[in-house]
Amino acid sequence: MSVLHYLDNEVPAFGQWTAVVEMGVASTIVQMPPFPERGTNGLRVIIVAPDVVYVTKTTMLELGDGENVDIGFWVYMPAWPSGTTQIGRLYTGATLVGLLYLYNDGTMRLQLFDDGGGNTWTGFTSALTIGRWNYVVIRLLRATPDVLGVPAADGGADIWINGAHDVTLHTIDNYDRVAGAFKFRLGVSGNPTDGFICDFDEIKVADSYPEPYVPEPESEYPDDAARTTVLYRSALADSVTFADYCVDELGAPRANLCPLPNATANESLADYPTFQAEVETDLAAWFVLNPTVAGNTTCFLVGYGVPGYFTHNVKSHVTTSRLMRYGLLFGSILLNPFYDPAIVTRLTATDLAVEGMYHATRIDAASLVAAKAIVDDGLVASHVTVPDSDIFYHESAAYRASLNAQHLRMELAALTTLTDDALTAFDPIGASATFGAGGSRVAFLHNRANSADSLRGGASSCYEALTEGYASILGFTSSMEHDFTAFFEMLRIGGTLAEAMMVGSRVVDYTIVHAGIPGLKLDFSTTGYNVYRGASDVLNVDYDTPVAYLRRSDTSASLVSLGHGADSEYVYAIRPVWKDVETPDIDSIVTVVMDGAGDWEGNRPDPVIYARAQAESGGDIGVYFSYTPGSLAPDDFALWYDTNPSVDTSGAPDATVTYNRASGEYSHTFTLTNGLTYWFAIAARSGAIESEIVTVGPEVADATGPAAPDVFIASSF
Amino acid sequence: MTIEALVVNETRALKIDARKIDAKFLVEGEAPKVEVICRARPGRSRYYTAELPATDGEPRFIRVQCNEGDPINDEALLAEIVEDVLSPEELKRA
Repeated sequence: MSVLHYLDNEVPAFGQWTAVVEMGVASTIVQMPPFPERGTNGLRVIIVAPDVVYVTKTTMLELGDGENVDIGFWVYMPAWPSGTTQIGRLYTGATLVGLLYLYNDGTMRLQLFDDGGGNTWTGFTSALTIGRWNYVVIRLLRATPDVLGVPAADGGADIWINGAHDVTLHTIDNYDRVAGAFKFRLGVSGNPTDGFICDFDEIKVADSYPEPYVPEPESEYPDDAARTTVLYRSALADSVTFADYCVDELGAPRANLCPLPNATANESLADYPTFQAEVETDLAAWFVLNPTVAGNTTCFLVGYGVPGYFTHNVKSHVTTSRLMRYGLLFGSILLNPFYDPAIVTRLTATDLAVEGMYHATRIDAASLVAAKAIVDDGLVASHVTVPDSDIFYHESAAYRASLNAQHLRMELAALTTLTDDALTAFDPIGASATFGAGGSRVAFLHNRANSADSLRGGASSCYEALTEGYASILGFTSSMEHDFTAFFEMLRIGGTLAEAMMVGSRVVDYTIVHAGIPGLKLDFSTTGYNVYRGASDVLNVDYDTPVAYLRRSDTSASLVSLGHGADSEYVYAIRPVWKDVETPDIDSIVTVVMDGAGDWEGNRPDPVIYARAQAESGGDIGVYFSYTPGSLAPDDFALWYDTNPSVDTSGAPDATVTYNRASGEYSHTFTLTNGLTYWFAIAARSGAIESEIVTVGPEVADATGPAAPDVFIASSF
Repeated sequence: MTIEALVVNETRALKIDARKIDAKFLVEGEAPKVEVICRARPGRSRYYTAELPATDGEPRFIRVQCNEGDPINDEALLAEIVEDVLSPEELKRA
C-alpha cells in the first residue's frame, strides 16, 4: 500500500488542499476540531442551506486499466442530516465519476457514472454511528478495456466502514470516463441540508486500502492500550458504545477497534465453525486491512455482546482461551507454553510472538451499564496500593503459608464470609465463601467446573463476583488446572491482569474464562520487613534469600515451615523495607537453638556483660562480670576455663555462680597452675538453656609472687 | 496571447462553456457573464470571489481559496467550478 497523499489538516489555512470552495456566505468551513488522537486541526463544515462548502484535492494519479484509488478518512457527525446530502465527489480530470451520498439514517451509497452517460447506485452501507468518529474508505475502481468491442464492465467501487467491507459493486463500464488525474471533494458539495455539521480528518489517498492513523505502542505490555485490539459487534449498538467506552476510559486507539459484522450472538455459539464465521474470519479480514494494528496487537479485549463461548466435543470452549492462540490451528486442550514458569517474569511482545500467542480478556455482563462498571472497577483498582485493611482470601493453607503469599504483604485468610476482600482464590477444593462487605475486590479466581458458564447471569460464581463488584475473574466452564501462585506473582512483580492470566492458565483453546480489563495492574504494599537466616553465626546469614516477608503491621512471624534441624542453631536477621528498598544497615538479630529433638529450646537468657579476668596472687585468677536480666532471668552462671582460646564449654562447668537479682555484680576466683595462660567462658543459664557464651582472657596464673600484703590502718592519735 | 494570473483586486470574466450549463442560465443562447475578483494572495494561496447568475432573486457568491498549482490555471479551475454549479445535472440533484 502506498499513501499518495496524507491530508491531516495540520497545515494552517487548509494549505494541504488544492482549493476551498464556499458558495454564498452562510455555510462555513473551519479548521477544527481535530481527530482526537492526532494533531490539533481538523476540518468541520457547517451547512446553512442552500449554501455548500467543500475542499478539493487534485492528484497526479491517473488510474490504469483495472486500477483503483482509495480514499480513507475519519468522519464525525453530531447528528444526521435532515435529508439526503452529498459529502464527497470523485472526479477524473473534469469528469464526475462518483457521488457519495449520506442519508438521514446514517447510511451512505455511491452514485457511479459510466461511459454511456448513465449511472449506477451501489447498495446502501450500514449506518455510521452518530456522535462517533467512523473510519470510511471509498474505493474507485476503473474498468478494464473493452474486449472485441464488448465492455468489460468490471469497474465500480467499494466502501468499508470501520474496517468492515460494507458495499461492493464491480459491474459498470467506466473505463473511458475514469481517464484523467484523480481528484475529489470532501464536505458538502451538493444537496445541502440546513444545520448539518460534519467533521473530517486524517484523510489518506492511496493505491489500496489505507490504514487509519495508528499510534505507536510505547510499551511491550498490555498496559499500553495500543497493544490491545478491542472486538465488538458492529450490528449491536450497545457493543459499539462499549467499544467507544474502551477508547474513552482505557485509551484504546480508535484504529484498534475491530468490528465483527457477522457476529450474531451474545453468549454461546453452536460449534467452532460457527465461531470462525462469526469471530475469527472477521478478525482475520480486519487484520489484513490493518497490518500495523495486527503487528502491534499482543492482546484481545472481547467486548460487550461478543460471543464468549462455543461448543466443541460437548464442552463449552471459551473465546478468550481460543484467541490466546489466534492464528494457530484450533486444537482444544493445548498446553500453554507460558504456564507457571519457574521464575515469573513479564511477557514481552517478542515472547508472545515467538510462541504465536496473544493475551485475551473479556468484558461482558447482563447490561451495558454493568459491563462499563467492570471497566470502571478495573481502573479504580489499577495503580492503587491495596489498602492495608484489605484481605486476600485463599482456600489453600499451604499457599497462605508460602513465601509467594507473604511477599504480597497482604493480610491472608482462609475462605469465609468475604469481608474487606481484595483478592479471592479457590484452590484446589474446599468450602465456598459468601460475600460480605467488600474491600477493593480486584480479582476473583475460581477453580470449579461451571464457575464461569456465563458472565450475563445464571448461577455461575464468577458472574456473581462481577456483580458484587469484582474487577476481574478467572473461572472455568469445566474444571481444569491452573496456577494461582504464578497468577499472583505476576501481579506482584508489576505484570498486568492479562499477563497474570497467561501464566496462570495451564491450557489454551479450552475452557478457562478470563474477564477484566487487560491492563489492570495492582500495587501491593512494598513496606514491611524481610527475614533472613543463617547457621550459628550472623556471618552465615544469606542476605540474598529472604526466608519470610512480613507486613509492616506484623509483630510476629511463623517460621515453622522453614525447617529447623535437631541440635542446630540458627541466626535470624530482620531488616525493614520501605517502598521496596531494604535498609542493610539495620538488622535485628535473634539466635534460635534447637534441642536434640529438633524443638526450640525456648527463650534464652541474655549474655553477661562487662566480663573481665584478673590475675591475683597465689595462682588465683578472678573472673568478674555484670548482669542485667532481659526477658528471662537466669538461674545461675556457668564458668569454664581452658588453656586455649576456644574454651570447651561442652562439659559440666568448672564453676557456677548463683544469680542474685539484687546484686548485678558477680565474680569467681579460680586457683590455677602457675605459669599457664588461661581463657574463661561464661554463660547465663535458665535450666538447661544457656545464653550466648562470653569469653575473656588471656590471663597468666602466677603463684611465685608474694601474697598481697594486709593493710592495717590505725589511728595515730 | 499570454495568460496572466489575476492580481489582487483585479476582476476578470470567466470563460464559461455554454454547453455545460443549464439552459435556464443562458442569455440569448450565450453563457452568462460571470466575473471573478481576486481578493487576496497571502503566501501561496489565492482568494477569489465570483458572482453567479441569480436564480431566486438573490445574488449567489462563490468564494474559492486556491492553494496549489500554477495561479495562471486558477481561472480555468474557477470556470470549472461555476460550470459545475450551473450544470443541469447539479440542478437536477439539488
